[in-house]
Amino acid sequence: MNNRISRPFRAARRGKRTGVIALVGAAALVAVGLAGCSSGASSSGSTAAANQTLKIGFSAEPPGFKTGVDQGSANKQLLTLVRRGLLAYGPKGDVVPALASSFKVSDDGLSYTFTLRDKLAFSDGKTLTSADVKRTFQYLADPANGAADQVTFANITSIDTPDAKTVTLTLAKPQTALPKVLASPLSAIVPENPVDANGVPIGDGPFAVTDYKKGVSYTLKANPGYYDASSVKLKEIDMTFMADAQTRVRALQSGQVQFIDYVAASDYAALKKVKGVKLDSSYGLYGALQFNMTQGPLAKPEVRQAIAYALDLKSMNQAGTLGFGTANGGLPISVKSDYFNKEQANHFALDLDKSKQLLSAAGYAGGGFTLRLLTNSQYFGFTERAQVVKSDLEKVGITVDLETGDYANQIAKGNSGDYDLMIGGPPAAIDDPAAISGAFLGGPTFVRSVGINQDLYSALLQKGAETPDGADRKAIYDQIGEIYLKDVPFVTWGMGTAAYAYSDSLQGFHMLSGAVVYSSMYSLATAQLTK
Amino acid sequence: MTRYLLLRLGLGIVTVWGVVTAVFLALHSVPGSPAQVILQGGAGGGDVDPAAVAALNKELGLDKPLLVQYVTYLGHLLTGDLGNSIKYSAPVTEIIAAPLGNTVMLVVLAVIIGGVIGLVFGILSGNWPGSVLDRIVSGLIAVAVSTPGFVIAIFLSLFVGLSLGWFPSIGYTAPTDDFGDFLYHAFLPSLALSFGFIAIIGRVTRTSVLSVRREDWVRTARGMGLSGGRVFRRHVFRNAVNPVVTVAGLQFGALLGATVLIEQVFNWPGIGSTLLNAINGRDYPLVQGIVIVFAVVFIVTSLLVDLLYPLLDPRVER
Repeated sequence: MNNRISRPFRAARRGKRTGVIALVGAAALVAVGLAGCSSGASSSGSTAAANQTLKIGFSAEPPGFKTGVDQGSANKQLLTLVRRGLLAYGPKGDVVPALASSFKVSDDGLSYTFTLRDKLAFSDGKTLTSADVKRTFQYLADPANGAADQVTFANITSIDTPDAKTVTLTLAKPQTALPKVLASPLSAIVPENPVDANGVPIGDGPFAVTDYKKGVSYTLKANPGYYDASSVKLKEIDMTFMADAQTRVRALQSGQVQFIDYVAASDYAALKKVKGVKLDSSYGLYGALQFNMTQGPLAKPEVRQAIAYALDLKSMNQAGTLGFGTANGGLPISVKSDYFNKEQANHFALDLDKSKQLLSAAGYAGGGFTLRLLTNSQYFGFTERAQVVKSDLEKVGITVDLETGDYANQIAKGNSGDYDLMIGGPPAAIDDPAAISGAFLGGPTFVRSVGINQDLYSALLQKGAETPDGADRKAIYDQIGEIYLKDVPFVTWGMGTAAYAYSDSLQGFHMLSGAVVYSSMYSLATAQLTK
Repeated sequence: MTRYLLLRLGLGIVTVWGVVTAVFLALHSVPGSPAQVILQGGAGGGDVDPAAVAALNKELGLDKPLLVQYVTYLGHLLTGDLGNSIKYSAPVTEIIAAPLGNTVMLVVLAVIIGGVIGLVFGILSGNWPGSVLDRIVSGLIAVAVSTPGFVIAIFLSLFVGLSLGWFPSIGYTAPTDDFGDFLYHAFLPSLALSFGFIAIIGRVTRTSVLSVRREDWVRTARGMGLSGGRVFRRHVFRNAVNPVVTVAGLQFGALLGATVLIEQVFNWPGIGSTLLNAINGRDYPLVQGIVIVFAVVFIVTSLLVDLLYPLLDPRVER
């Protein structure tokens, strides 16, 4: 206890008058102390700390760095720190220049000309020129390399590099979302040897990995060769792998780290109460109940519609995100997007009677069949949602057997279609309606339902990808939505939730949401620690 | 003695082969390939062309028949080559060296902490059976043995680490960076790991002390007027400690296994965490390599305990 306060209290025993004086004096001291603390806090918020080393508790060790392959959130987040593409995402999710200082688009949308900045270089010292851009894009276009946006890059029919700073892309068909694709960390420009002997990715980002302790941590230092190095305030980032969500929260609470990613919804309330910690939460990726439509009752659209009507999306949202996500159906388009169709999203509002009628119409009056629901017990939200699905479908007479295991098990069985139902979700790499193509088109992987009639969607999806933003484009996606509501190749249940938590001494971090949430760490390029 | 050692060595090799084969078959029977996990296993990812996954499988040699993979692996094993980690593309021996050291350190500290406390508990309890002290100590031992290790770990991390701030609630410093800080971070996980060991050592010591105290030569020593302390040191303790050493040695392997959950709680980069991540990642060579290490450690510690026994009690035949 502060001795200056306790002395007056000892004096108070001598007499009532002395006690009153002492209490007044103590109150004054406390008031002065509080004023000093608060003024210190407000003034220190804008002063850069001398130590600009950010300690991060990171949710997973990236599984590797295959150029262009969507290997998950840990992979993408690290790439936002060590690599850059021609474009990047700004603090509000808008597309901003990166390696390219500017670009022009031809009137017909078939030609994009990028001008690279001066003196670009990779973190290994090699210069970065238009030739590297061409090589990277050709690599991403090759189906054998498994890039997430292979279709986008395959649409580029030629890449001209008249000089070291100019790149002209000629497209076969217009692609409204091309700038957003180029802003993705998966589209970053890479050197000929994109990963060093230690498995560390090389790029031209604001930071470079200088030390990698396998299974333990990355150490990153500010990259002096970055094109905007003068704006990078953080000198070092120490990224320790902490797979367990509770471990990350404890590390932040104890001050051992100043930033954590992938905060579980169950920790939101507790973290909001912690002084000196800020919780940034927003919507994450869509989730969906996927179908194997090749056999049995699920081959009939009426059965799939019946299942959609039987699901209580609010319960799904509560079980999977504790209510922090959204509870909506329809196409997996962000609720914040101009292309979100609210009527379609609410089309399959809970209606058990309608569900039973549809089952009856399909020849399954009273249900009377069993479906295997594949999920995993490794990540929060999967088994919880599976339990809700099981409970909901049993109300219309459909028996659901849960099949669980680790995530690798789900991937394997999902890839081979070894399930009837699966807790999953459509892939989405960019915040554009064109991204929903991944939910319908493509080879057999666990992120898509099995047996989708891709012919129903491919032409319209292609048209939507080519059409400029506006009412015409909206109409196309509304049309796709109508087809979806009849066909129901999967049942979306809403957007998930995502959150970062960090010390309030960190300024300049901006969380993105939805499909680009894992590009949020782009903003660490200009963030800083304050006193 | 030589014949005995050769026999134990032969049995050890057969045991390791059995373990390797069982783990190999178990790993390959579980759905999910390393290529799938590497390319598709990250949260939020997964949309990868099946051809790319198949190509990586082929690059890793996982498209070959199972028998071919097994024989190839055994062939390398005979030359001391544990293969390369699929995830890290580096020799398994190189990958497990640091985590193994981190775990062994935890186990050694746990054995020291648990051994000292367990012996003290057992001696106090055994020397004054039925007393209040015996009841208190027995109660503490009962709590230690009945509480799962990870529960103790979570309690220590939250209360001692986070609330009181006496020790770090999680984390790790490499011993080469700062050995003192390494020990500082290792204390709570070692303490958590030691609880079960304390209980076992305490119970065995108590039983053993009680048993030896009743022996004729102990009564004779007391009857001859030797002090209580001398009777305990020279006659009771030296005889009572033999079964404790055996049990302690056999517990070493169990302690290694118990580190898995405790390492998760404290985010300690030990062999348990590495094994768990390798299993989830289907990193076959790394899982097999770690299992071999565990098997060899267990076999060697059992052998050392058996060899140590005659040193402690000359009456036992070598």
